Amino acid sequence: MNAPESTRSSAQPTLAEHALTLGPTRMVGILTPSPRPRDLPAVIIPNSGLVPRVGPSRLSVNLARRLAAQGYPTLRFDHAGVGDSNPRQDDLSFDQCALEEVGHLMDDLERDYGLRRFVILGLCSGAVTAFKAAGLDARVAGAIMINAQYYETDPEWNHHVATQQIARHYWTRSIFRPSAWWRAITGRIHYRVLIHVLLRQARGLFRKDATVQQVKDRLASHLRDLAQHETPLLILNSEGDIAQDYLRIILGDELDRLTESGSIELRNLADTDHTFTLLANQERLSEIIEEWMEKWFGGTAESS
Amino acid sequence: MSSLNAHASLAPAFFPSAGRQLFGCLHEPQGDPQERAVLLVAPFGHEAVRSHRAFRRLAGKLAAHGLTVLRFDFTGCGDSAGDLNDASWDIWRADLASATRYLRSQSRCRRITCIGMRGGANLALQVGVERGEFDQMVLWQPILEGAQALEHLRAMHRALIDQCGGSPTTSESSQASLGPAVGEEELLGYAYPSTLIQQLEQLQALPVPGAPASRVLLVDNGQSSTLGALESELRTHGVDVESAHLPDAEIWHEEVYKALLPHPSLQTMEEWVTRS
Repeated sequence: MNAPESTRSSAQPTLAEHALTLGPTRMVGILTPSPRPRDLPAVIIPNSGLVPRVGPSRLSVNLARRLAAQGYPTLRFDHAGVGDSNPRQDDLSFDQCALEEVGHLMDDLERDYGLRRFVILGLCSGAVTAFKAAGLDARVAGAIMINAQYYETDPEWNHHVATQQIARHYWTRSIFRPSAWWRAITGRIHYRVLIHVLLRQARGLFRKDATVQQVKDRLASHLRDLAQHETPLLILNSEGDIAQDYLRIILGDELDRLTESGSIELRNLADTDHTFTLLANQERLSEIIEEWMEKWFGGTAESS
Repeated sequence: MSSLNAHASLAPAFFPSAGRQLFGCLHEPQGDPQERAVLLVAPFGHEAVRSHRAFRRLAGKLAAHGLTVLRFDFTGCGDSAGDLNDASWDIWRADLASATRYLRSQSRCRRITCIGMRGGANLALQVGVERGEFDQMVLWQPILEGAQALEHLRAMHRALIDQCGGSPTTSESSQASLGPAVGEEELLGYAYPSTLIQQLEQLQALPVPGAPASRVLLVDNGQSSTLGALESELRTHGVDVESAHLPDAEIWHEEVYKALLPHPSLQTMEEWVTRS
């Protein structure tokens, strides 16, 4: 790790942030140490898709500073090829790189800062990284998944979930809205999409797609393992986001049982977009995360 | 891991500005270092994160020509200290001057080219006129009328509220600890303080009181050219002005996941900066 340079935020004067380059590709990250060093896990925040490490509407910066104030040193960083980090020179897929890169970060943070336990907190693709890192590396003490999508890159799997989401939209919302019927009668809907979705649903009643089933089984098995090992997992979904469909399809009837197991907590949040853009929604999200972190790891903003 | 070698040298660091710390990324020159450095001035608010990829690409292109390049975040933006409600137009002008000093100290170059986008272009224009520190300047879609730009932002914000089921987002309607505080206006997830809102309402690119640099490139991505008056005004101050009207996506408003890069604009700027 290169020599860090530090700063002090005037808004939160007790927090000194360090600009770091980490891992063999020198990924760029900002570490916000806790002003009150305690034996609490560090939080790692990966990118949300292609959004640079500051996060959508600076969400990752705000979360990092709040969590650090609560006692958790927090690193936000750019995966190789995203934000400020240079791209890799190999041909590995993002799926393959993401977990390896999180491993490199933990190595560096452990070596240079003595941090040994981590909670991975991610939104969108970052949520999937958090999910997969939990259970894979013993240093990961917990994970927070916000609107996790895709999970795997298999196109058949993702097409299946997208179709299910559209179908759910038709059956639960459009069918009850006069305006939707009016659009159908007046020809202002995508008939091809509608027919495709209905046909695919009908086909699914008689035949299970092997690829979809394999992906689903793999992901469900990983979730069961996390529950069995009592790895704390907080799942936060925006109401109506496709993240809900992914989770429902992965777990089916098991969803309620697993989320009642104790270590896995699911919260669906109404009236918010995928990236929690509005300040009120960011605040709500931050409070839930702070409460969950306190419940599992004990950090509080007031503690010293 | 030898295949993972970073292919360009980049130094992230914090530097001081009037008691605050700003985050910057210094792109070190590749090959023979030139005697000129380049300062990239990003927009603020949601436009900063949406233009990040284009600025990152431009910085890499210019560094490949042997130029030292600095990108930085204004107070309350990106990784820099504070929140947007700590910011004002005057603080940002001071930030720009601090970034220039930092780039000069790191590069040891006397000649600085400044490339600003949107509000960053307006700040560069003002600081350039006041301080005379830039020998050339690129103004990439500067804001002509601040009030108009704010109205556009407000329209985007209203659309977002509709999408989110009409959540409260004004200081008057927000609950105790949620949303913007009293005296702030929320625009796309950023709480703008009233002082900054007033300053943006009054922002006008024209008139320009003097020459911001001896050489200026105007880059206009609008469907129809809008920078003719600015070009004429700069000429009256003896500035060598070139204009590039390159209709393209307004990347500062486009969602990041689209991964749009305005290649014609980037190439034009690269050629113009390295030609001199």
